[in-house]
Amino acid sequence: MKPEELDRVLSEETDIVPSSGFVAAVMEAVTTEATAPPLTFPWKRAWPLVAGFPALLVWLVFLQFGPASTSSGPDLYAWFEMMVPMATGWVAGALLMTVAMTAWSLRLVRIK
Amino acid sequence: MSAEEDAADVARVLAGDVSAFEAIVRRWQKPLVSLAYRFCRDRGRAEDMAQEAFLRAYRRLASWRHEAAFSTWLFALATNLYRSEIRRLPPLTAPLDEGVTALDRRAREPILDEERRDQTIRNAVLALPAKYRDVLTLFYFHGMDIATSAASLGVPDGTVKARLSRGRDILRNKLQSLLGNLS
Repeated sequence: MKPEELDRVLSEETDIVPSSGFVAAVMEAVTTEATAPPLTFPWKRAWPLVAGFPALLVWLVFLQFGPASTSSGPDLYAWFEMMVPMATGWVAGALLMTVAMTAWSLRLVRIK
Repeated sequence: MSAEEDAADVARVLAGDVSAFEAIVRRWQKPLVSLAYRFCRDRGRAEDMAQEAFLRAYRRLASWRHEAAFSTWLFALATNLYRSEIRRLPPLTAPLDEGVTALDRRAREPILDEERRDQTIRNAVLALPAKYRDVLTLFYFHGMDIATSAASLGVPDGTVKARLSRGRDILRNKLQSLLGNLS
């Protein structure tokens, strides 16, 4: 057997004829795609976060630079110092959660 | 297959006439299913993969810039999808080394008939490393046209030539013990 025979074997492969329902199946999928309503952002679920995060920022800025910051108000730096020992645990927890969620979503995609 | 017909149908689909996509599917179903089959060697799966390729083509139809032929764009899109699918779920073929070992045992028996030999060679392509398998699959599918194969894979012509040469060498070496001297 010569190299050109290898070319012949690999190039002379016959084409596959799709089944009779193939076009209909594709068009059904395309039509479903075309008529499906577009995905919208879930504002109803997201609004507490959307509203809460700027409010938290405003509150923190107010605590730090507001009229009460020089007198008896809570000291933001002291508050952060208090949080630091707990931060490692939170960061580790968040990383673990991220890994778990990534693995889960990849698994879901594979199943699909 | 007419480039003008493709362009006209794409324009109709983009203008909102979804039914015009059917003509595109009818025109390209056989090549796309055949190409998918060469990647997976399974008729049912080949149709599923081709259907997904058409659906993806429909979604991205507006991204065809008319700089290349519609067929070039469609094959590049389908090839990309098929390679991802095969990476995600490889076809049910034994690794080439195992296949050859198993076939060596049969080689002691009477010589393989031509049909079985051809099938062995085709299956052996699937067991090549992906970058050689893809190039060989596309090269022979496109009638040994390097430029078209390169366009489908999105790599330069030189890369296709190099991978083709190396892929054929690997294939010949692996099959040599079974099928005789290929050099």
